[in-house]
Amino acid sequence: MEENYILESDWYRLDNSAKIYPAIMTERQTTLFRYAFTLTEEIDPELLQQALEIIFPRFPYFNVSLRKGFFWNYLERNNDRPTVHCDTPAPCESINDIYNNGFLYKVLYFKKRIAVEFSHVISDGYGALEFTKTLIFEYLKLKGHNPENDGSIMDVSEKPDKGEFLDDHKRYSQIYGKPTEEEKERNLFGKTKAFLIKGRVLPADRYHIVTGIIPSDDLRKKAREYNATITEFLTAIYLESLIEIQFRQVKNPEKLRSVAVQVPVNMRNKLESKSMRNFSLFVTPTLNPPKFPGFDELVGFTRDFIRENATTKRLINILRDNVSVGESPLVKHVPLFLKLPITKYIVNTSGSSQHSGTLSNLGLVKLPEKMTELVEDIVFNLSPDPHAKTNAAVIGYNGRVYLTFGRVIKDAPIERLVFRKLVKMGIHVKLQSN
Amino acid sequence: MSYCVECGVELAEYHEECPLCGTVVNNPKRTIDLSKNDYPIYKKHHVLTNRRKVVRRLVGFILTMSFMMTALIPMLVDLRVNTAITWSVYPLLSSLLLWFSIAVPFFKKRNTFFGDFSISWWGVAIFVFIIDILNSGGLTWSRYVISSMALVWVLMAGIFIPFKIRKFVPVILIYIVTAVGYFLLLASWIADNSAVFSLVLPLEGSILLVFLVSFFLVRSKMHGIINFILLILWDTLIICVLFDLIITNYVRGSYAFTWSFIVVIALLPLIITALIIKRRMKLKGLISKKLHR
Repeated sequence: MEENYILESDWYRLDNSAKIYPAIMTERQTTLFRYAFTLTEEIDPELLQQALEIIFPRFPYFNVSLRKGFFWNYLERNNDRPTVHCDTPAPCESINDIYNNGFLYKVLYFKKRIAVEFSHVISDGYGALEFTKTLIFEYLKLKGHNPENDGSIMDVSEKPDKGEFLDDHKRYSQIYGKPTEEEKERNLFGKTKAFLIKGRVLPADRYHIVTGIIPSDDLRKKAREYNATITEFLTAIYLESLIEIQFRQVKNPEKLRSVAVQVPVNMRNKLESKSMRNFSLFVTPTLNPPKFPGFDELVGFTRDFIRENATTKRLINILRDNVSVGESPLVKHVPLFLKLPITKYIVNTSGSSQHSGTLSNLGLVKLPEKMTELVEDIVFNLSPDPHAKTNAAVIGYNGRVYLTFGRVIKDAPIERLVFRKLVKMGIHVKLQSN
Repeated sequence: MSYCVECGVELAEYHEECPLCGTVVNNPKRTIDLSKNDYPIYKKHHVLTNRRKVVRRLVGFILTMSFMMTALIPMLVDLRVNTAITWSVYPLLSSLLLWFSIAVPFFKKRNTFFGDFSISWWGVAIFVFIIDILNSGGLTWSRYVISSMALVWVLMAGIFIPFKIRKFVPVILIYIVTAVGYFLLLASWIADNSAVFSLVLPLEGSILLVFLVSFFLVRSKMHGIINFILLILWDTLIICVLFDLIITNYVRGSYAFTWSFIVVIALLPLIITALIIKRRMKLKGLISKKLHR
């Protein structure tokens, strides 16, 4: 009964993470992230459109439009048809409702590349990647390549599972109950402000992307020298670069701020979940001034911080606390027209100034063997962040790691420092950019 | 392959300079191949709507042609029957108003809310002015409408006024001067005329009502270019009918359809076409396919 209700319902509540995004969405802060798959041959837009039409009924939770209720935004089933468009110079441009038929994702093509841009309102990196993989798989099938599905691609002939629709933040918070005062891990108020890079901000229609293609074995080997994972190692380099930039930009030692990098954690690796909607949380390694350590200590600090804070127990506490904020009567019963500006104010003042950047590592993407021969590159990038100004996204595919920086400022200080450090360590880096 | 001498990174074939430090690539053994770009190239005046430019122009052109036809056909019929332009002046004017309000924004490089609002607003004012001239032979009832519309436009301009002007001229001063001027003007007219309650207010009210209904429709349910066009056509039709009823009541003392009948006949084919396109997914799909870039 409940299953039918979810499958047939023409509207869904926003999941707990997504509730914040409608308040902060602007032409600059688009909340869109992107996967770009480069194939070995030129894209045929008509076949891509056909592939999209084959797969989109399999993902009903993505075929929605954002609507306003009296207390909360909600997602309404969109019965229109998604269409493919030619790619733009600036990735993650804001979605135009009229142009995009009200959908919260875009499918784009350019030469040999198929890109899918997803709004965080409907999903996180995991859900969007499953959608993109399925799209590319169906496209290649239509192209006549007939790749075999080894189970890593979703089956479009199957009915969507009820679990895919669920807001697992809420589900697990109901299982574990409300947090006690000691268990609260609230991270919005009462923390010191982090350093934010200064620079000439680009107009809203520009977003610079630089991708460094790195051999994964070299990077893993280097990370292992420091007894760290790739995420921990890259976060440490990111932190060190931020520290150097702060020393360069802030001359007065009394004005030095903490340096913090947000690292998303996929909760599906911690808790059983089939959800295709947002189900990730953050840990934020933070270094306080004036004692900034050397690189060896920095890697050790980052490694220990991530390992201590990304434990299932701590993350569940954060999850329970996050849900309890939305469930509190003060938040729940305030009309949306009041809630949105208040949320926007809090996020733009307290929330966004607590990290100097974001580094999201999606991990290794595995495709069926035949598909791997036809897909050359996979690039993943995050949405523009007007506060931290830069962010980094990492994805591994076919023996390579793609480290992509996005920035909304003219100069590229972070990218420059990070890639130069990697080159100095003897790691080969090949660049792509827009 | 080329490497940046400063950063030590390998560059792509299309890089003329290092994207990290800006160092110019100086490798005599290679040619820079911009066609191998991984992303479309930024144009000098790239704006967010850039990729829609051609589609927008095409839509503007189609709308222009449609409005031209709805103006020309009645005019030719009128000329053939009456050997003069008589009643056909109304569809001509209505088509002009529609073209001004709907098609012109599609030709603009950058659309702003206030810019598009101003075009539509003054388009309606000119329309009302000409209708009055044609019906009454002079500026009679339309002066109330136009002056009220001017007042509303100034109030709106106060909200959207650029900071450069706001710095020198306080908005409140503009509001006070305009409001006083408007009420003095109105008082001088009302001294020998009682059109305010029977004409000006109903006309303003009808515009406000249509605007509010459209606004909430767009905010709540509607998306897609066809719905948008349908809404504008429908709004124009309703406004014309309401205007006609109110004006006729004021002039003759009883409600009747006069010139708005012609507007209805001119607009109905367009509305029906838009509805057919909306209903028939195949046709809609074809249009999307043909218009997408």
